[in-house]
Amino acid sequence: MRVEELVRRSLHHMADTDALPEPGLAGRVLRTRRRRRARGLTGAVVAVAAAATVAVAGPLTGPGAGGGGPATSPQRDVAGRPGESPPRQLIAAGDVAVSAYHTRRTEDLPGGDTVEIRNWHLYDPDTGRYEETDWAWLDVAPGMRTAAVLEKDLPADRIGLLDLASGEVERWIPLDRGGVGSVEFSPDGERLLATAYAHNPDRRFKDASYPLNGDEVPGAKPGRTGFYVIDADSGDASFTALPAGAAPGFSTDPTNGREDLSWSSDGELLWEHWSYEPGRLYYDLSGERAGRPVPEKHVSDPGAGLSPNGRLVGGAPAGEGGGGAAAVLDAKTGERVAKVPARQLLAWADDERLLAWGCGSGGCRDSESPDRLVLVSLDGDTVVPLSGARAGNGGDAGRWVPEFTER
Amino acid sequence: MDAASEAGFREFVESRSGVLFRTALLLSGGDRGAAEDLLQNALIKAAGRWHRLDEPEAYVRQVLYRQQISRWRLRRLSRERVVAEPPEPGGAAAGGDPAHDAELRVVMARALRRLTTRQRTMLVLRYYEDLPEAEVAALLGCSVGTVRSTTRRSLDKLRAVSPELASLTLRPPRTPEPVREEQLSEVKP
Repeated sequence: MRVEELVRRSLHHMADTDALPEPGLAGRVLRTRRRRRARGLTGAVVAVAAAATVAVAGPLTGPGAGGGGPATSPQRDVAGRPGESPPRQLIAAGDVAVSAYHTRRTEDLPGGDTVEIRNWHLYDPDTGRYEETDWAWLDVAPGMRTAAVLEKDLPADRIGLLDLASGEVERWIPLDRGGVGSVEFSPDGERLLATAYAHNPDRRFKDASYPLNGDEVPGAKPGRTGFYVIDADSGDASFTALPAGAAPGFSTDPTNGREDLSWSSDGELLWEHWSYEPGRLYYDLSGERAGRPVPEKHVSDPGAGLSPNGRLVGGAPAGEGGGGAAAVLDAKTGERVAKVPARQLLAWADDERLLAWGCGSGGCRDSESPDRLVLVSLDGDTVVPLSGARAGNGGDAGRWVPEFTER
Repeated sequence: MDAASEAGFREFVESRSGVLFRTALLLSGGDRGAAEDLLQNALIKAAGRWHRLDEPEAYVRQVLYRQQISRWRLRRLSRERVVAEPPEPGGAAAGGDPAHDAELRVVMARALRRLTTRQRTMLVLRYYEDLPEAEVAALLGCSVGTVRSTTRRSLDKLRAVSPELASLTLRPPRTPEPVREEQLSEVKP
Protein backbone atom coordinates (compact mmCIF):
# COMPACT_ATOMS: atom_id res chain seq x y z
CA MET A 1 0.00 0.00 0.00
CA ARG A 2 1.37 3.41 -0.92
CA VAL A 3 1.71 5.85 1.91
CA GLU A 4 -0.76 8.22 0.25
CA GLU A 5 -3.38 5.50 0.27
CA LEU A 6 -2.55 4.67 3.84
CA VAL A 7 -3.06 8.29 4.84
CA ARG A 8 -6.34 8.44 2.96
CA ARG A 9 -7.62 5.31 4.62
CA SER A 10 -6.45 6.35 8.05
CA LEU A 11 -8.06 9.77 7.83
CA HIS A 12 -11.37 8.30 6.80
CA HIS A 13 -11.21 5.80 9.63
CA MET A 14 -10.34 8.49 12.12
CA ALA A 15 -13.32 10.53 10.95
CA ASP A 16 -15.59 7.52 11.17
CA THR A 17 -16.50 8.12 14.78
CA ASP A 18 -19.51 9.07 16.83
CA ALA A 19 -17.71 12.03 18.36
CA LEU A 20 -19.93 15.08 18.72
CA PRO A 21 -19.29 18.56 20.02
CA GLU A 22 -20.55 19.47 23.47
CA PRO A 23 -24.33 20.04 23.49
CA GLY A 24 -25.55 23.60 23.02
CA LEU A 25 -23.01 24.55 20.36
CA ALA A 26 -25.37 26.85 18.44
CA GLY A 27 -26.24 28.76 21.59
CA ARG A 28 -22.59 29.17 22.51
CA VAL A 29 -21.77 30.36 19.02
CA LEU A 30 -24.54 32.94 18.97
CA ARG A 31 -23.75 34.16 22.46
CA THR A 32 -20.03 34.46 21.77
CA ARG A 33 -20.71 36.26 18.53
CA ARG A 34 -22.95 38.77 20.27
CA ARG A 35 -20.33 39.29 22.90
CA ARG A 36 -17.56 39.87 20.39
CA ARG A 37 -19.68 42.27 18.40
CA ALA A 38 -20.82 44.16 21.43
CA ARG A 39 -17.63 44.54 23.34
CA GLY A 40 -14.22 43.19 24.31
CA LEU A 41 -13.45 41.62 27.61
CA THR A 42 -9.71 41.12 27.24
CA GLY A 43 -7.56 43.58 28.98
CA ALA A 44 -10.30 44.39 31.39
CA VAL A 45 -7.82 45.03 34.13
CA VAL A 46 -9.81 46.66 36.83
CA ALA A 47 -8.53 48.63 39.77
CA VAL A 48 -11.11 49.10 42.46
CA ALA A 49 -11.90 49.94 46.04
CA ALA A 50 -13.51 48.35 49.10
CA ALA A 51 -16.41 46.05 50.18
CA ALA A 52 -17.87 42.58 50.90
CA THR A 53 -17.55 39.88 53.48
CA VAL A 54 -19.25 36.57 52.89
CA ALA A 55 -18.02 33.80 55.10
CA VAL A 56 -17.74 30.73 52.92
CA ALA A 57 -14.87 28.29 52.82
CA GLY A 58 -13.67 25.71 50.34
CA PRO A 59 -13.99 25.55 46.58
CA LEU A 60 -17.29 26.29 44.95
CA THR A 61 -17.56 24.65 41.62
CA GLY A 62 -20.68 24.43 39.54
CA PRO A 63 -21.56 21.26 37.69
CA GLY A 64 -19.21 20.68 34.81
CA ALA A 65 -17.18 23.76 35.53
CA GLY A 66 -13.98 21.84 35.46
CA GLY A 67 -12.74 23.54 38.62
CA GLY A 68 -9.00 23.65 38.22
CA GLY A 69 -8.98 22.15 34.75
CA PRO A 70 -7.86 23.89 31.61
CA ALA A 71 -10.11 26.59 30.25
CA THR A 72 -9.50 25.59 26.69
CA SER A 73 -12.80 23.93 25.96
CA PRO A 74 -16.18 25.56 26.29
CA GLN A 75 -17.33 25.76 29.89
CA ARG A 76 -20.45 27.46 31.05
CA ASP A 77 -20.64 27.10 34.77
CA VAL A 78 -19.24 28.62 37.89
CA ALA A 79 -15.85 27.92 39.43
CA GLY A 80 -15.51 29.87 42.65
CA ARG A 81 -12.80 29.85 45.31
CA PRO A 82 -14.47 31.60 48.22
CA GLY A 83 -11.66 30.60 50.57
CA GLU A 84 -8.85 31.98 48.42
CA SER A 85 -7.59 35.55 48.20
CA PRO A 86 -5.67 35.95 46.01
CA PRO A 87 -7.00 32.87 44.24
CA ARG A 88 -4.80 29.85 43.72
CA GLN A 89 -7.09 27.97 41.35
CA LEU A 90 -9.22 29.07 38.42
CA ILE A 91 -12.09 31.45 39.03
CA ALA A 92 -14.65 31.51 36.24
CA ALA A 93 -18.32 32.18 35.66
CA GLY A 94 -20.34 31.98 32.50
CA ASP A 95 -18.32 33.11 29.53
CA VAL A 96 -15.41 34.65 31.40
CA ALA A 97 -12.62 33.61 33.69
CA VAL A 98 -10.02 35.37 35.76
CA SER A 99 -7.12 34.63 33.43
CA ALA A 100 -4.53 36.46 35.51
CA TYR A 101 -4.14 38.89 38.34
CA HIS A 102 -1.44 41.23 39.52
CA THR A 103 -0.30 42.91 42.67
CA ARG A 104 1.84 46.04 42.87
CA ARG A 105 4.77 47.21 44.89
CA THR A 106 7.08 50.21 44.75
CA GLU A 107 10.85 49.87 44.53
CA ASP A 108 13.45 52.54 45.16
CA LEU A 109 15.91 53.28 42.40
CA PRO A 110 19.36 54.84 42.75
CA GLY A 111 19.22 58.63 42.69
CA GLY A 112 15.88 58.97 44.43
CA ASP A 113 13.53 57.79 41.69
CA THR A 114 11.06 54.99 42.34
CA VAL A 115 9.24 52.52 40.13
CA GLU A 116 5.96 50.71 40.57
CA ILE A 117 6.30 47.01 39.76
CA ARG A 118 3.43 44.73 38.81
CA ASN A 119 3.76 41.15 39.94
CA TRP A 120 1.70 39.01 37.58
CA HIS A 121 0.17 35.62 38.23
CA LEU A 122 -1.08 33.84 35.13
CA TYR A 123 -3.44 30.88 34.90
CA ASP A 124 -1.57 27.74 33.89
CA PRO A 125 -3.87 25.14 32.33
CA ASP A 126 -1.38 22.38 33.13
CA THR A 127 -1.39 22.91 36.87
CA GLY A 128 -4.86 24.43 37.09
CA ARG A 129 -3.41 27.22 39.21
CA TYR A 130 -2.31 30.80 38.91
CA GLU A 131 1.47 30.75 38.67
CA GLU A 132 3.78 33.66 39.38
CA THR A 133 5.54 35.08 36.34
CA ASP A 134 8.39 37.49 35.64
CA TRP A 135 6.55 39.45 32.99
CA ALA A 136 6.24 43.19 33.38
CA TRP A 137 2.85 43.20 31.62
CA LEU A 138 0.55 40.66 30.07
CA ASP A 139 -2.80 40.34 28.40
CA VAL A 140 -4.57 37.06 27.66
CA ALA A 141 -6.31 36.54 24.31
CA PRO A 142 -9.93 35.40 24.11
CA GLY A 143 -9.99 31.63 24.46
CA MET A 144 -7.18 31.67 27.05
CA ARG A 145 -4.63 29.93 24.92
CA THR A 146 -2.24 32.77 24.20
CA ALA A 147 -1.00 35.76 26.16
CA ALA A 148 0.88 38.81 24.93
CA VAL A 149 3.73 39.52 27.31
CA LEU A 150 6.25 42.30 27.91
CA GLU A 151 9.62 41.75 29.52
CA LYS A 152 11.08 43.76 32.30
CA ASP A 153 12.12 46.54 32.17
CA LEU A 154 9.55 48.75 30.54
CA PRO A 155 9.30 50.11 27.96
CA ALA A 156 9.81 46.76 26.21
CA ASP A 157 11.18 46.68 22.69
CA ARG A 158 9.43 43.45 21.72
CA ILE A 159 6.18 41.64 22.44
CA GLY A 160 6.10 37.94 23.17
CA LEU A 161 3.23 35.65 22.26
CA LEU A 162 3.15 33.14 25.07
CA ASP A 163 1.52 29.75 24.68
CA LEU A 164 -0.29 29.12 27.96
CA ALA A 165 -0.18 25.34 27.54
CA SER A 166 3.59 25.11 27.16
CA GLY A 167 4.57 28.26 29.02
CA GLU A 168 6.88 29.07 26.11
CA VAL A 169 7.01 32.22 24.02
CA GLU A 170 6.02 31.14 20.54
CA ARG A 171 7.36 34.18 18.83
CA TRP A 172 8.73 37.61 19.47
CA ILE A 173 7.42 40.62 17.63
CA PRO A 174 10.12 43.29 17.42
CA LEU A 175 9.14 46.95 17.69
CA ASP A 176 11.31 49.34 15.72
CA ARG A 177 9.77 52.68 16.73
CA GLY A 178 10.39 52.59 20.45
CA GLY A 179 9.39 50.42 23.39
CA VAL A 180 5.91 49.86 24.81
CA GLY A 181 4.44 49.89 28.29
CA SER A 182 1.19 48.02 27.70
CA VAL A 183 -0.32 45.63 25.21
CA GLU A 184 -3.89 44.48 24.69
CA PHE A 185 -5.54 41.95 22.39
CA SER A 186 -8.38 43.19 20.19
CA PRO A 187 -11.82 41.78 21.07
CA ASP A 188 -11.50 39.19 18.31
CA GLY A 189 -7.96 38.28 19.38
CA GLU A 190 -6.53 38.94 15.93
CA ARG A 191 -4.70 42.22 16.59
CA LEU A 192 -2.65 43.77 19.33
CA LEU A 193 -2.65 47.35 20.52
CA ALA A 194 0.54 48.43 22.27
CA THR A 195 1.09 51.88 23.77
CA ALA A 196 4.61 53.26 23.26
CA TYR A 197 6.46 55.33 25.83
CA ALA A 198 9.74 57.24 25.89
CA HIS A 199 10.36 55.99 29.42
CA ASN A 200 8.87 53.55 31.88
CA PRO A 201 5.35 54.89 32.55
CA ASP A 202 5.49 53.41 36.05
CA ARG A 203 8.65 55.28 37.00
CA ARG A 204 8.40 58.17 39.42
CA PHE A 205 11.03 60.88 39.09
CA LYS A 206 12.66 62.76 41.90
CA ASP A 207 12.83 65.91 39.76
CA ALA A 208 9.04 65.74 39.37
CA SER A 209 8.37 65.42 43.10
CA TYR A 210 5.10 66.61 44.57
CA PRO A 211 3.94 67.09 48.17
CA LEU A 212 2.07 64.20 49.78
CA ASN A 213 1.13 64.16 53.45
CA GLY A 214 3.86 66.64 54.24
CA ASP A 215 6.57 64.81 52.28
CA GLU A 216 7.99 65.35 48.83
CA VAL A 217 7.54 62.14 46.85
CA PRO A 218 8.76 61.33 43.33
CA GLY A 219 6.19 62.03 40.65
CA ALA A 220 5.28 60.76 37.18
CA LYS A 221 6.21 62.42 33.90
CA PRO A 222 4.15 62.03 30.74
CA GLY A 223 6.03 59.92 28.23
CA ARG A 224 3.63 58.44 25.67
CA THR A 225 4.93 58.61 22.11
CA GLY A 226 2.24 56.74 20.19
CA PHE A 227 0.89 53.26 19.58
CA TYR A 228 1.39 50.16 17.51
CA VAL A 229 -1.37 48.13 15.93
CA ILE A 230 -0.04 44.65 15.25
CA ASP A 231 -1.45 41.75 13.29
CA ALA A 232 -1.03 38.91 15.78
CA ASP A 233 -0.85 36.36 13.02
CA SER A 234 1.82 37.89 10.80
CA GLY A 235 3.50 40.10 13.39
CA ASP A 236 3.20 43.10 11.04
CA ALA A 237 3.29 46.22 13.20
CA SER A 238 2.37 49.76 12.24
CA PHE A 239 3.29 52.67 14.47
CA THR A 240 1.26 55.88 14.84
CA ALA A 241 2.51 58.88 16.78
CA LEU A 242 0.11 60.04 19.50
CA PRO A 243 2.25 61.84 22.05
CA ALA A 244 1.49 62.50 25.67
CA GLY A 245 -1.02 65.22 26.36
CA ALA A 246 -2.99 64.72 23.14
CA ALA A 247 -6.20 64.99 25.13
CA PRO A 248 -7.75 68.46 25.46
CA GLY A 249 -7.30 69.90 28.93
CA PHE A 250 -4.53 67.43 29.61
CA SER A 251 -2.58 68.03 32.78
CA THR A 252 0.16 65.93 34.24
CA ASP A 253 -1.01 63.60 36.99
CA PRO A 254 1.96 63.15 39.32
CA THR A 255 0.52 59.87 40.59
CA ASN A 256 0.09 58.25 37.18
CA GLY A 257 2.37 58.28 34.15
CA ARG A 258 0.20 55.92 32.12
CA GLU A 259 -1.81 57.04 29.12
CA ASP A 260 -2.53 53.54 27.85
CA LEU A 261 -4.83 53.11 24.89
CA SER A 262 -7.56 50.47 24.74
CA TRP A 263 -9.77 48.96 22.04
CA SER A 264 -13.36 50.01 21.65
CA SER A 265 -15.88 47.19 22.12
CA ASP A 266 -16.08 46.49 18.39
CA GLY A 267 -12.33 46.73 17.80
CA GLU A 268 -12.79 49.60 15.33
CA LEU A 269 -11.54 52.48 17.48
CA LEU A 270 -9.14 53.20 20.31
CA TRP A 271 -9.76 55.18 23.45
CA GLU A 272 -7.88 56.66 26.34
CA HIS A 273 -9.05 57.68 29.76
CA TRP A 274 -10.06 61.32 29.97
CA SER A 275 -10.46 63.27 33.17
CA TYR A 276 -13.60 65.00 31.93
CA GLU A 277 -17.05 63.72 31.06
CA PRO A 278 -17.75 61.35 29.43
CA GLY A 279 -14.48 59.88 30.65
CA ARG A 280 -13.13 58.55 27.35
CA LEU A 281 -11.50 60.06 24.28
CA TYR A 282 -11.72 58.06 21.09
CA TYR A 283 -9.29 57.83 18.16
CA ASP A 284 -9.35 55.95 14.90
CA LEU A 285 -6.49 53.63 14.01
CA SER A 286 -4.66 56.47 12.28
CA GLY A 287 -4.59 58.43 15.53
CA GLU A 288 -7.27 60.97 14.52
CA ARG A 289 -9.91 61.94 17.05
CA ALA A 290 -13.16 60.07 16.57
CA GLY A 291 -16.64 60.33 17.97
CA ARG A 292 -17.94 58.13 20.74
CA PRO A 293 -19.45 54.97 19.23
CA VAL A 294 -23.21 54.83 19.73
CA PRO A 295 -23.22 51.45 21.52
CA GLU A 296 -20.75 52.87 24.07
CA LYS A 297 -22.69 56.05 24.68
CA HIS A 298 -23.55 55.16 28.26
CA VAL A 299 -20.49 53.08 29.12
CA SER A 300 -18.63 54.42 32.12
CA ASP A 301 -15.29 53.68 33.71
CA PRO A 302 -14.85 51.74 35.79
CA GLY A 303 -17.69 49.40 34.99
CA ALA A 304 -18.55 46.13 33.29
CA GLY A 305 -19.27 47.75 29.92
CA LEU A 306 -21.79 46.33 27.46
CA SER A 307 -23.60 43.08 28.10
CA PRO A 308 -22.93 40.27 25.61
CA ASN A 309 -26.13 41.08 23.71
CA GLY A 310 -25.22 44.77 23.72
CA ARG A 311 -28.49 45.82 25.34
CA LEU A 312 -27.30 46.70 28.84
CA VAL A 313 -24.43 48.57 30.44
CA GLY A 314 -22.88 47.52 33.72
CA GLY A 315 -22.40 50.97 35.10
CA ALA A 316 -21.17 52.99 38.00
CA PRO A 317 -22.44 53.04 41.60
CA ALA A 318 -26.14 53.78 41.69
CA GLY A 319 -25.52 57.12 43.35
CA GLU A 320 -27.84 59.14 45.58
CA GLY A 321 -30.35 56.85 47.17
CA GLY A 322 -28.75 53.86 45.55
CA GLY A 323 -27.69 52.40 48.86
CA GLY A 324 -24.20 51.84 47.54
CA ALA A 325 -25.44 49.39 44.94
CA ALA A 326 -24.36 49.48 41.29
CA ALA A 327 -26.59 50.48 38.41
CA VAL A 328 -27.33 48.57 35.24
CA LEU A 329 -28.42 50.85 32.40
CA ASP A 330 -30.29 50.49 29.15
CA ALA A 331 -27.52 50.81 26.54
CA LYS A 332 -29.72 52.87 24.21
CA THR A 333 -31.44 55.24 26.59
CA GLY A 334 -29.09 55.28 29.55
CA GLU A 335 -32.01 54.69 31.91
CA ARG A 336 -31.40 52.59 34.97
CA VAL A 337 -33.08 49.22 34.54
CA ALA A 338 -31.62 47.39 37.54
CA LYS A 339 -29.76 47.98 40.74
CA VAL A 340 -27.56 45.18 41.98
CA PRO A 341 -25.98 44.76 45.40
CA ALA A 342 -22.35 45.21 44.45
CA ARG A 343 -19.64 47.68 45.22
CA GLN A 344 -18.44 47.72 41.65
CA LEU A 345 -19.40 45.85 38.50
CA LEU A 346 -16.44 44.33 36.68
CA ALA A 347 -17.48 42.04 33.81
CA TRP A 348 -20.52 40.29 32.36
CA ALA A 349 -20.63 36.52 32.87
CA ASP A 350 -23.56 36.38 30.43
CA ASP A 351 -26.61 38.51 29.67
CA GLU A 352 -28.09 37.97 33.14
CA ARG A 353 -25.12 37.80 35.48
CA LEU A 354 -22.18 40.01 36.36
CA LEU A 355 -18.88 39.58 38.12
CA ALA A 356 -18.42 42.28 40.69
CA TRP A 357 -16.71 43.33 43.86
CA GLY A 358 -19.42 42.43 46.30
CA CYS A 359 -20.66 44.31 49.30
CA GLY A 360 -19.64 43.24 52.78
CA SER A 361 -21.83 41.93 55.57
CA GLY A 362 -22.44 45.52 56.62
CA GLY A 363 -24.06 46.27 53.27
CA CYS A 364 -22.81 48.23 50.33
CA ARG A 365 -22.53 51.41 52.35
CA ASP A 366 -19.92 49.81 54.61
CA SER A 367 -16.77 50.81 52.77
CA GLU A 368 -14.57 49.55 55.58
CA SER A 369 -15.34 45.89 55.00
CA PRO A 370 -13.01 44.05 52.63
CA ASP A 371 -14.34 43.22 49.21
CA ARG A 372 -14.70 39.86 47.56
CA LEU A 373 -15.25 38.79 43.98
CA VAL A 374 -18.87 37.69 43.49
CA LEU A 375 -21.22 36.58 40.77
CA VAL A 376 -24.45 38.55 41.00
CA SER A 377 -27.69 38.15 39.08
CA LEU A 378 -29.39 41.14 37.47
CA ASP A 379 -32.33 40.88 39.82
CA GLY A 380 -29.88 40.93 42.71
CA ASP A 381 -31.46 37.84 44.26
CA THR A 382 -28.43 35.62 43.78
CA VAL A 383 -24.96 36.53 44.99
CA VAL A 384 -22.35 33.77 44.69
CA PRO A 385 -18.94 34.38 46.28
CA LEU A 386 -16.10 33.64 43.87
CA SER A 387 -13.05 34.59 45.91
CA GLY A 388 -12.00 35.18 49.48
CA ALA A 389 -12.09 38.63 51.01
CA ARG A 390 -9.51 41.02 49.59
CA ALA A 391 -7.60 42.92 52.20
CA GLY A 392 -6.07 46.36 51.90
CA ASN A 393 -6.94 49.56 50.13
CA GLY A 394 -6.28 51.06 46.71
CA GLY A 395 -2.60 50.61 45.97
CA ASP A 396 -1.67 48.45 48.96
CA ALA A 397 0.98 45.86 48.30
CA GLY A 398 -0.59 42.44 47.99
CA ARG A 399 -3.98 43.75 46.91
CA TRP A 400 -4.74 41.69 43.85
CA VAL A 401 -6.34 43.03 40.70
CA PRO A 402 -8.01 40.50 38.37
CA GLU A 403 -7.96 40.40 34.61
CA PHE A 404 -11.06 38.94 32.97
CA THR A 405 -10.88 37.07 29.70
CA GLU A 406 -13.43 35.37 27.52
CA ARG A 407 -12.81 31.66 27.93
CA MET B 1 -29.49 38.06 12.82
CA ASP B 2 -33.29 37.99 12.98
CA ALA B 3 -35.33 35.26 14.62
CA ALA B 4 -35.87 33.32 11.39
CA SER B 5 -32.18 33.39 10.51
CA GLU B 6 -31.27 32.35 14.01
CA ALA B 7 -33.66 29.42 13.82
CA GLY B 8 -32.13 28.42 10.49
CA PHE B 9 -28.65 28.70 11.89
CA ARG B 10 -29.53 26.59 14.92
CA GLU B 11 -31.05 23.95 12.68
CA PHE B 12 -27.92 23.89 10.53
CA VAL B 13 -25.66 23.50 13.56
CA GLU B 14 -27.89 20.80 14.96
CA SER B 15 -27.83 18.77 11.77
CA ARG B 16 -24.28 19.34 10.53
CA SER B 17 -22.17 19.96 13.60
CA GLY B 18 -21.34 16.25 13.95
CA VAL B 19 -19.71 15.89 10.58
CA LEU B 20 -18.05 19.29 10.81
CA PHE B 21 -16.76 18.45 14.26
CA ARG B 22 -15.16 15.30 12.95
CA THR B 23 -13.33 17.31 10.31
CA ALA B 24 -12.21 19.71 13.02
CA LEU B 25 -10.98 16.72 15.02
CA LEU B 26 -8.85 15.58 12.11
CA LEU B 27 -7.41 19.04 11.71
CA SER B 28 -6.68 19.21 15.42
CA GLY B 29 -4.95 15.86 15.53
CA GLY B 30 -7.67 14.38 17.74
CA ASP B 31 -7.63 17.15 20.36
CA ARG B 32 -11.29 17.62 21.34
CA GLY B 33 -10.81 20.96 23.01
CA ALA B 34 -8.97 22.39 20.03
CA ALA B 35 -11.56 20.94 17.66
CA GLU B 36 -14.44 22.54 19.61
CA ASP B 37 -12.58 25.81 19.59
CA LEU B 38 -11.88 25.60 15.87
CA LEU B 39 -15.45 24.70 14.94
CA GLN B 40 -16.97 27.29 17.23
CA ASN B 41 -14.92 30.06 15.69
CA ALA B 42 -15.77 28.93 12.16
CA LEU B 43 -19.48 28.88 13.05
CA ILE B 44 -19.22 32.37 14.53
CA LYS B 45 -17.92 33.60 11.20
CA ALA B 46 -20.71 31.78 9.40
CA ALA B 47 -23.32 33.29 11.71
CA GLY B 48 -22.01 36.73 10.81
CA ARG B 49 -22.89 36.29 7.15
CA TRP B 50 -25.62 33.73 7.47
CA HIS B 51 -28.13 35.45 5.21
CA ARG B 52 -25.57 35.67 2.40
CA LEU B 53 -24.46 32.05 2.46
CA ASP B 54 -25.77 29.79 -0.27
CA GLU B 55 -23.79 26.79 0.92
CA PRO B 56 -23.12 27.21 4.60
CA GLU B 57 -21.40 23.87 5.07
CA ALA B 58 -18.92 24.56 2.29
CA TYR B 59 -18.27 27.96 3.80
CA VAL B 60 -17.69 26.55 7.28
CA ARG B 61 -15.30 23.97 5.89
CA GLN B 62 -13.37 26.65 4.08
CA VAL B 63 -13.14 28.73 7.25
CA LEU B 64 -12.05 25.67 9.22
CA TYR B 65 -9.14 25.08 6.90
CA ARG B 66 -8.10 28.67 6.49
CA GLN B 67 -8.44 29.35 10.17
CA GLN B 68 -6.34 26.36 11.01
CA ILE B 69 -3.55 27.45 8.66
CA SER B 70 -3.72 30.97 10.00
CA ARG B 71 -3.87 29.98 13.64
CA TRP B 72 -0.91 27.72 13.18
CA ARG B 73 1.38 30.71 13.14
CA LEU B 74 0.07 32.08 16.40
CA ARG B 75 -0.58 28.99 18.41
CA ARG B 76 1.56 26.40 16.79
CA LEU B 77 3.03 24.77 19.86
CA SER B 78 -0.16 24.56 21.82
CA ARG B 79 -1.86 22.88 18.91
CA GLU B 80 0.99 20.46 18.46
CA ARG B 81 1.53 19.76 22.12
CA VAL B 82 -2.00 19.14 23.26
CA VAL B 83 -2.27 15.45 22.71
CA ALA B 84 -5.45 13.51 23.03
CA GLU B 85 -6.28 9.96 22.22
CA PRO B 86 -7.34 9.51 18.63
CA PRO B 87 -11.05 9.23 18.03
CA GLU B 88 -12.39 5.78 18.45
CA PRO B 89 -12.87 4.08 15.13
CA GLY B 90 -16.38 3.38 14.00
CA GLY B 91 -15.47 0.06 12.45
CA ALA B 92 -12.80 -1.89 10.71
CA ALA B 93 -11.65 -1.19 7.20
CA ALA B 94 -13.71 -2.87 4.61
CA GLY B 95 -12.13 -6.06 3.61
CA GLY B 96 -9.17 -5.68 5.98
CA ASP B 97 -8.01 -7.36 9.14
CA PRO B 98 -9.65 -5.41 11.99
CA ALA B 99 -6.72 -5.78 14.39
CA HIS B 100 -4.26 -4.79 11.75
CA ASP B 101 -6.35 -1.81 10.70
CA ALA B 102 -6.76 -0.68 14.27
CA GLU B 103 -3.03 -0.81 14.82
CA LEU B 104 -2.42 1.08 11.61
CA ARG B 105 -4.92 3.70 12.61
CA VAL B 106 -3.35 4.24 16.01
CA VAL B 107 0.12 4.54 14.56
CA MET B 108 -1.07 6.87 11.84
CA ALA B 109 -3.04 9.04 14.24
CA ARG B 110 0.02 9.39 16.42
CA ALA B 111 2.15 10.21 13.41
CA LEU B 112 -0.35 12.79 12.16
CA ARG B 113 -0.27 14.57 15.49
CA ARG B 114 3.45 14.99 15.13
CA LEU B 115 3.07 16.94 11.92
CA THR B 116 2.68 20.69 12.01
CA THR B 117 -0.86 21.91 11.74
CA ARG B 118 -0.14 23.19 8.27
CA GLN B 119 1.17 19.82 7.14
CA ARG B 120 -1.76 17.98 8.70
CA THR B 121 -4.24 20.36 7.13
CA MET B 122 -2.69 19.83 3.75
CA LEU B 123 -2.99 16.05 4.09
CA VAL B 124 -6.61 16.31 5.23
CA LEU B 125 -7.45 18.42 2.21
CA ARG B 126 -5.61 16.19 -0.25
CA TYR B 127 -6.48 12.76 1.12
CA TYR B 128 -9.63 13.18 3.21
CA GLU B 129 -11.45 15.78 1.16
CA ASP B 130 -9.75 14.42 -1.97
CA LEU B 131 -9.28 17.89 -3.40
CA PRO B 132 -6.95 18.35 -6.38
CA GLU B 133 -3.82 20.41 -5.78
CA ALA B 134 -5.22 23.43 -7.61
CA GLU B 135 -8.30 23.54 -5.42
CA VAL B 136 -6.25 23.21 -2.26
CA ALA B 137 -4.07 26.09 -3.45
CA ALA B 138 -7.11 28.24 -4.15
CA LEU B 139 -8.65 27.38 -0.82
CA LEU B 140 -5.57 28.20 1.21
CA GLY B 141 -4.41 31.11 -0.92
CA CYS B 142 -1.06 29.62 -1.86
CA SER B 143 0.55 28.29 -5.02
CA VAL B 144 0.14 24.80 -6.44
CA GLY B 145 3.87 24.40 -5.96
CA THR B 146 3.49 25.10 -2.25
CA VAL B 147 0.71 22.54 -1.98
CA ARG B 148 2.85 19.99 -3.77
CA SER B 149 5.98 20.61 -1.75
CA THR B 150 4.14 20.76 1.59
CA THR B 151 2.31 17.53 0.82
CA ARG B 152 5.56 15.84 -0.12
CA ARG B 153 7.30 17.04 3.01
CA SER B 154 4.34 15.97 5.10
CA LEU B 155 4.48 12.44 3.72
CA ASP B 156 8.25 12.37 4.20
CA LYS B 157 7.82 13.41 7.79
CA LEU B 158 5.17 10.78 8.37
CA ARG B 159 7.64 8.15 7.26
CA ALA B 160 10.39 9.68 9.35
CA VAL B 161 8.43 10.00 12.58
CA SER B 162 6.80 6.61 12.31
CA PRO B 163 9.18 4.11 10.76
CA GLU B 164 6.89 1.39 12.07
CA LEU B 165 4.47 2.36 9.32
CA ALA B 166 6.77 0.51 6.98
CA SER B 167 6.20 -2.84 8.63
CA LEU B 168 2.51 -2.17 9.17
CA THR B 169 1.86 -1.20 5.60
CA LEU B 170 3.80 -4.13 4.34
CA ARG B 171 1.83 -6.55 6.45
CA PRO B 172 -0.92 -8.07 4.35
CA PRO B 173 -4.44 -7.35 5.60
CA ARG B 174 -5.75 -10.84 4.97
CA THR B 175 -4.53 -12.19 1.71
CA PRO B 176 -0.78 -12.02 1.29
CA GLU B 177 0.23 -9.91 -1.66
CA PRO B 178 3.62 -9.77 -3.29
CA VAL B 179 5.64 -6.78 -2.12
CA ARG B 180 6.85 -4.63 -4.92
CA GLU B 181 10.09 -2.74 -4.77
CA GLU B 182 8.45 0.68 -5.12
CA GLN B 183 6.33 -0.03 -2.08
CA LEU B 184 9.46 -0.61 -0.05
CA SER B 185 10.95 2.66 -1.16
CA GLU B 186 7.67 4.44 -0.41
CA VAL B 187 7.68 3.62 3.21
CA LYS B 188 11.34 3.71 4.05
CA PRO B 189 12.15 6.28 6.71
